[in-house]
Amino acid sequence: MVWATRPDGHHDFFNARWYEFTGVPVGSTDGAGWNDIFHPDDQNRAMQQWQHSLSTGVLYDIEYRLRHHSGAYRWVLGRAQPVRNSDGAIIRWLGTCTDIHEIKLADEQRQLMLGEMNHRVKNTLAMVHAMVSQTLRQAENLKDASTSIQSRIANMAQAHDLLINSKWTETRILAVVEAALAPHRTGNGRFTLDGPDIPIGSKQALALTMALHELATNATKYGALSTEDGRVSVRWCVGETGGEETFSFCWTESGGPPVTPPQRRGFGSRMIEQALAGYFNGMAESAYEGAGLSFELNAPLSGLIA
Amino acid sequence: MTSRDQSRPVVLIVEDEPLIRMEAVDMIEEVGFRTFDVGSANPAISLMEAHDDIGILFTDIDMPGSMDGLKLAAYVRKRWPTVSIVIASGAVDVETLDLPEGAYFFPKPYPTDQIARALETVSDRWG
Repeated sequence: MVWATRPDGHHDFFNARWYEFTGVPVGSTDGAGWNDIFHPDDQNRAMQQWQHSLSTGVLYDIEYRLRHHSGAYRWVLGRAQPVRNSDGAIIRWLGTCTDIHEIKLADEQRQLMLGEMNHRVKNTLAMVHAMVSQTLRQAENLKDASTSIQSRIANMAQAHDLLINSKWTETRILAVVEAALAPHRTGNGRFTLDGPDIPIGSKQALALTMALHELATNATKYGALSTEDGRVSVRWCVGETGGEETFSFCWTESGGPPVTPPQRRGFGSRMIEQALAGYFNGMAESAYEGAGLSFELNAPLSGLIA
Repeated sequence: MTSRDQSRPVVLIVEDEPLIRMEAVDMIEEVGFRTFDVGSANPAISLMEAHDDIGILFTDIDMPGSMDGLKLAAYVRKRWPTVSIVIASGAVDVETLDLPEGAYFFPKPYPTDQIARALETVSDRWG
């Protein structure tokens, strides 16, 4: 769109494109009438900057919202420069308005995403910090703490890889369970995985990955994975109770040595029994039967995505 | 617990992220305070109404529900003016936040030592 003004700022020319875009009657934006066709929140700023250019000769350069004939406002870039005579006096201003609406929206999206990413990174760091602090509080010695921390961080990092591959917002549960258990599988068929491949949110995926890491680590040290004959069944399902859709996740060990509940509640058991349920808005329970540990998480189905 | 702990204010922790909430509880109990912990504003207010020994509100900003941590802090400040307020958040623009007067602000991850010192200072003034 092209427009022009007298040296005093009185607008006296707008091209056909301007009238096509705005849909206003020819001549109706002459003089100072042009200001009303911009967004109310931008009008003062536009006028102030225009007055400044008029009095100083400085290039006019502004982003503002122009009313389209559809009634919607669109972001445009307004620019104007003075035309001078041989004495250097300004005799005209020549200006343009360029539709930058899509670019502006894309930029706003990008800012939002950067803000969101920054928030998520901070959150992840806070989770790592929480894990490290708690591991150190409970550790018997520095070497044990070091091993625990390293394997936990590796586990969390691997969960993030999976999430980034699914564009961070959502992934499916089978991939999450398989990735979490991959480091613990020896190819001997000790694990059975069974359940519908339903969507799961990123927070929940991370929490489940961390809990599975703890369950598998404990099973390797004291439970079913510490012997050749031990087996772990990992099953999950969707059901309905009282009109509400529910989700159940079970980890059941068998064939391993006799187990008893742990005396100290370290990071691992708190992750499994407390934190995980929190992320799913549900409840978790561990039972140490003669046959081995059985762990169950019950939550509303909505808890997987919320 | 020593008898000194009985005269210390109880800390109410409001944090919706489970792992970080666990850490907040651990961190604050390690310094010798008793704690309550909840995940949003409404249960927090219920606890404040039920327990007059809560002397410190330790809250995040982002949380589900009708009130975020800042609104909760403002509400608590108005209704229970003797309660100290500590806000811990991953939010970036601290200057633009509307913090109640005298409220402490800490980033996440928690700078544990700084928070411990702030709680000690507040506790010495309580009771």
